[in-house]
Amino acid sequence: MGTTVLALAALLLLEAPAGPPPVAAEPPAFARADAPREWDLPADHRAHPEHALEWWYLTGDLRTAEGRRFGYQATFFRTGLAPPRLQQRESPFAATQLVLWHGSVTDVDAGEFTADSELSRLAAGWAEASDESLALRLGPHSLAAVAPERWELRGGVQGWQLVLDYELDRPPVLNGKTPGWSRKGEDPGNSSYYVSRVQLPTSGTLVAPDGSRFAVTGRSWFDQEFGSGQLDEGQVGWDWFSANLSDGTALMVYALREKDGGSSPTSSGTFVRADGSFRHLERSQFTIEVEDRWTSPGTGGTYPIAWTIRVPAEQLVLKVRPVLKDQERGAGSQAEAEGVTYWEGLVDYRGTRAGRPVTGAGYVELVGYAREFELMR
Amino acid sequence: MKATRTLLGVLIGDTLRHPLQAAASVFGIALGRAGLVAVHAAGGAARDSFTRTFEAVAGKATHQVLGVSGLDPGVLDRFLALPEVDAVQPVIDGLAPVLGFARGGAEPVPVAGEPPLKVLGLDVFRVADFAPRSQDAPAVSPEQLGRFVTEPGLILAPRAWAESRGLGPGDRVAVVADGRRQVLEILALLPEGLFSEATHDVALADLATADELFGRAGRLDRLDVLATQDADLSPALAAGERVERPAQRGERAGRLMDAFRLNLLALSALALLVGSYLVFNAAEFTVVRRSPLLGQLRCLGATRPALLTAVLAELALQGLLGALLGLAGGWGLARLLVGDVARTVSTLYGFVDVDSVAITPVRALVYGALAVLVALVAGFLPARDAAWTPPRFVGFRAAAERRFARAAPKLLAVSGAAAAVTAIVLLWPTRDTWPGYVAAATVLLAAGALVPPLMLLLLPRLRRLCDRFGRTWGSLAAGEVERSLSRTGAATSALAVSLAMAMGVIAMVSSFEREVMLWLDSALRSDLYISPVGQDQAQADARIPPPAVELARALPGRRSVELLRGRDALLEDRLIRVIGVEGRRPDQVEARAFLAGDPDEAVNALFDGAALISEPLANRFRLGVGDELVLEGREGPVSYPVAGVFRDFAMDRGYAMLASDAYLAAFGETGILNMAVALEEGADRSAAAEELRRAFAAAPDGPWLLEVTASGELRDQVKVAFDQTFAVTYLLETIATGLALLGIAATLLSLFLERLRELATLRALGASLKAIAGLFVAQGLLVAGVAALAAVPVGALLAWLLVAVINLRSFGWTIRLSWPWAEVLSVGGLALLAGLLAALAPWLLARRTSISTALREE
Repeated sequence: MGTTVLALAALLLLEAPAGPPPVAAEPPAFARADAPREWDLPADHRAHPEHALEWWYLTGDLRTAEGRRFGYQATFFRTGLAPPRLQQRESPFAATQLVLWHGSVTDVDAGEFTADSELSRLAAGWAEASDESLALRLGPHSLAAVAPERWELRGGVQGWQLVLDYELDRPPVLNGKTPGWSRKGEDPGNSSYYVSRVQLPTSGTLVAPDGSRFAVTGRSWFDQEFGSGQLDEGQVGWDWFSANLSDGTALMVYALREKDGGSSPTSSGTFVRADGSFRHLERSQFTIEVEDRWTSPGTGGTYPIAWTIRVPAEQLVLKVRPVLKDQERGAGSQAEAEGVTYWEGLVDYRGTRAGRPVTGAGYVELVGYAREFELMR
Repeated sequence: MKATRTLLGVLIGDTLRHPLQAAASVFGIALGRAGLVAVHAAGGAARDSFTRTFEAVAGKATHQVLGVSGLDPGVLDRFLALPEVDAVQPVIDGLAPVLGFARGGAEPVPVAGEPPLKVLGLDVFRVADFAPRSQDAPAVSPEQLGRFVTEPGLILAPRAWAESRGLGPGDRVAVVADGRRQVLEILALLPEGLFSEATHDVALADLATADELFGRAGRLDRLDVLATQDADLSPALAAGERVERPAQRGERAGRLMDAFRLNLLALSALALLVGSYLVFNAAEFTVVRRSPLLGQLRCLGATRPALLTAVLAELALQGLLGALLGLAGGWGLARLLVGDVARTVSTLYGFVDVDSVAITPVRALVYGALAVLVALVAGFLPARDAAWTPPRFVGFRAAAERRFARAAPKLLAVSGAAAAVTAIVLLWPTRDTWPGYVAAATVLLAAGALVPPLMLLLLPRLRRLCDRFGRTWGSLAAGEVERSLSRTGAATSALAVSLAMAMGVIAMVSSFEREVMLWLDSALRSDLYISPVGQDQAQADARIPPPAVELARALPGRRSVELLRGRDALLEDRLIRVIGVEGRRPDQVEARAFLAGDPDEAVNALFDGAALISEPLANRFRLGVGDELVLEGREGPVSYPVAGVFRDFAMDRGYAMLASDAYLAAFGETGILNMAVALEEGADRSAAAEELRRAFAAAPDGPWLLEVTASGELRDQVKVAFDQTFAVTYLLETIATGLALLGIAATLLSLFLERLRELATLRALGASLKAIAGLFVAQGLLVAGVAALAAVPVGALLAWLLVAVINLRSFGWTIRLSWPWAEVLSVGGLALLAGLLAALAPWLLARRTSISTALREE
């Protein structure tokens, strides 16, 4: 679910003023995701500036015709510094929102992981986040709906360049017990609106830093989530899994980890069938068993690195293995720039569904292992 | 070695028995050092802070992108797209004159004399790559940072700045920016050392806040870039943009100050000269006074080398003591001077803030070593003579004087050589300024060396003249001075050199002032001059709001309204100024004194797109009528034919005048800097000024903070600025002359101490105290008079050097030399007065000393 924005927003010391604001005269506050909403898709892929936090998240597994394999992450975060104001300021540099770009490329054959980030105020044409349609941009990085059923991504990661097309051939997936409303804590306000696009047919070009070009195709995963709340007290991080499986189904599960080592009862997931229909998974309906751990040479953080996920109701058992262990963002100088460390990497899935073998690929996000995550609150 | 130590003990014992003389000697050394240290340190402090001001803002940036009229925000993505670029920082900064402070919730209370507040507008979300990461607690809370970016008018104030003014978070600062009064609120205090040590007086604002404050209308002042060191960023440049190294920028600013720096250096050199003389004099005196003692020591069997070593060792000790005192005194003096130097630099080259006196340990060591060295050199010859003279002859002062008489031809030779060097450097084929300074130094050296032989020649004649007319004390005094020429000669020549320098500088400044005032009268052809408040604090970014122009145009009785736009431009990598004039009547342009080009043709050409250039610009870049002036415009280089060269003293870096059409085409609308209103014949200036002031105050979105100055007042203001500029020159000058006069007093005093016994004999023979006083006064006047007389021709020569060589070459303007007799005579008079006062100290001592005690002495 790419919830890193919470951490990042906190790191920027920009907690959304959810409580009583410090200034007088009751200025407008951010809207909270404290009730189900009427979705209007695809129009709702737009930005929702009335909410403090929002992100658009794309990951995928890409291959060339020759079989060379790449993984990628392309995420746009939007953070509100203050609710949209009524009166405009004079300066075109005046901003109430920030846009953040996180990109990564996993060159599986070369065994290399590259990550990059960029931050800009939403002003002066340096960044855009349209509240009318999906149109995001930060410098050279952009994601936009170029046709009703087609999106285009342009992004740069260090020397890598990505130009990818997405075909929206399935209905959107609304996550949460109430579809599209995902509870993250006991307080109803600590929730988000959460929509996904799974098994997204993807094609395009990757240009490596040395200039070599790769025509690639594959499947991607898209998440969009917005709200204004935060995690509950006591939550220290999360493990999030997405899988596009070979039989056309897809799975998303996450566990919100608590300080005491357990996982929050609000952890949940979604199983998507090949026809596009989906079911919500309660915490009790899946298990995530850690089978191996890995210690990052960069940050010293110890991450779980191999798992078995079971969803008994779907007769689904999946072994999860990373294509590369070191897909940690924010090690070394990158940490200085981003100020946040997390593991976000391409994984392989292998197992059975209803007794039949199934494989798949997807991304795993592990937050809160390398550093004490105090800033989150 | 043991012998040396014993001898040193004897000498120090002797010194301690004559504390007054020893003190005079040490004091002389201290005085010499103090002046030098003060001048150097004050100049150094101003220079350092000037460079730091640039470093501070530049931070870690490796490159800076600058535009002809600011930068489009799109510049950011263009540079970020280059693979060599790691990070960029958009910047809008400026100076905002401070009107008042508001503590608590109160209304701002006006303050006077506040330096303008530097406001640095940054994109705080891009600052991380430039500023060092601090482990300290963040300066602002999350809520504060949110407000800082999203709300207008908030600044983070430097802690030291705020605390010294009793300001804290929530307090407000009323400033003038963009021609309006604006109120900024201090959101929080910045910790020390956020960017670098020099940012202690820079307030931080969000980029948008700075944009709104300074009215940049969405354009950036510059883009700081962090890239690989040797990266070529030119592919990302759009028309009218350029890339510089931050160092380059500082260097250019440094070059602006070169002329001023040379000026300070020359004055320091003078202080060094006079100071070294004082040290020399003190050291030599110590040895000469000791000649009898040295003779006795030789008789007692002290070897020559041992004696010499002991004398020199004592001199070194004295030099060291003097140097220590001098450093302390110099530091104090420098603290006093720094403010003046900074003010001058600010007036001339923009705002700098000097708050620390830079005496580094290295500098202190150098000064100290210099003092010891000069003392040793000064003492060496007399010490050697004393050590080598057969014991029975030692102790006769006459020997020293005979030696001096023998040295006269040598001094003449030195003088001749110095004069020859003067001629050679002046004929040297260069337009640099150094020959001017070298010539000034060699002229002074030549004059200084010439004075004692001249006295040797003249004093006997004066003595005979006095004898013939029965002026006994005159004759006695002349004889006394003549007999002690080894010291009085040196003192007189030092005074002559100082006086000549003073006269030369005074002549230069007064000629300069006369020329500037003449030029002002011809240049100020309008009646009212309107400029934004605070613009006189150089580089303040104030502009005149366009509706104010309409108000001026609607003024009853106005004949014409002239608008001035201006900006800096690069010419051959040096900063010049470009002025666009709108609405100037041809007869106003003609009023400028043209040095080259036919005035009528030049004016027509100006309105046809040609440029008129100021004399400094013409001289610096060797441009003349018919040449092409090529400037970097908004969309690339633009070329203008030069149609005329006019006299100007406003800007030593030079400026080019364009008609407004040509200016706007090349540089775009940069805002109106000044406005001049010419009134109909016979209109009431002050009434019109009052009416404009009222209109500006009552403006609907006002009050506009515009200053309306009638031409007469402006003239006075220029005069004040002029005096301020030369205040530091005069101050240093006064110090040098003061030092020389102290030298005279010290010399007379030492002569007296030396001849205590003879004077007692005179008194025993019936000379009254009054008569003794007459003798001293006559001596003092004689020395001062000879010095003053010698100074006049030398001063005239110096004035010519300063005006026709140094000023022309360093500032590029010609000044017609006028010899200010009144001032020159008053300098001479002051010297005589000082000579008189110098006689006071020995006379007071003589009065207190009883004849018998003096006769018993020695």
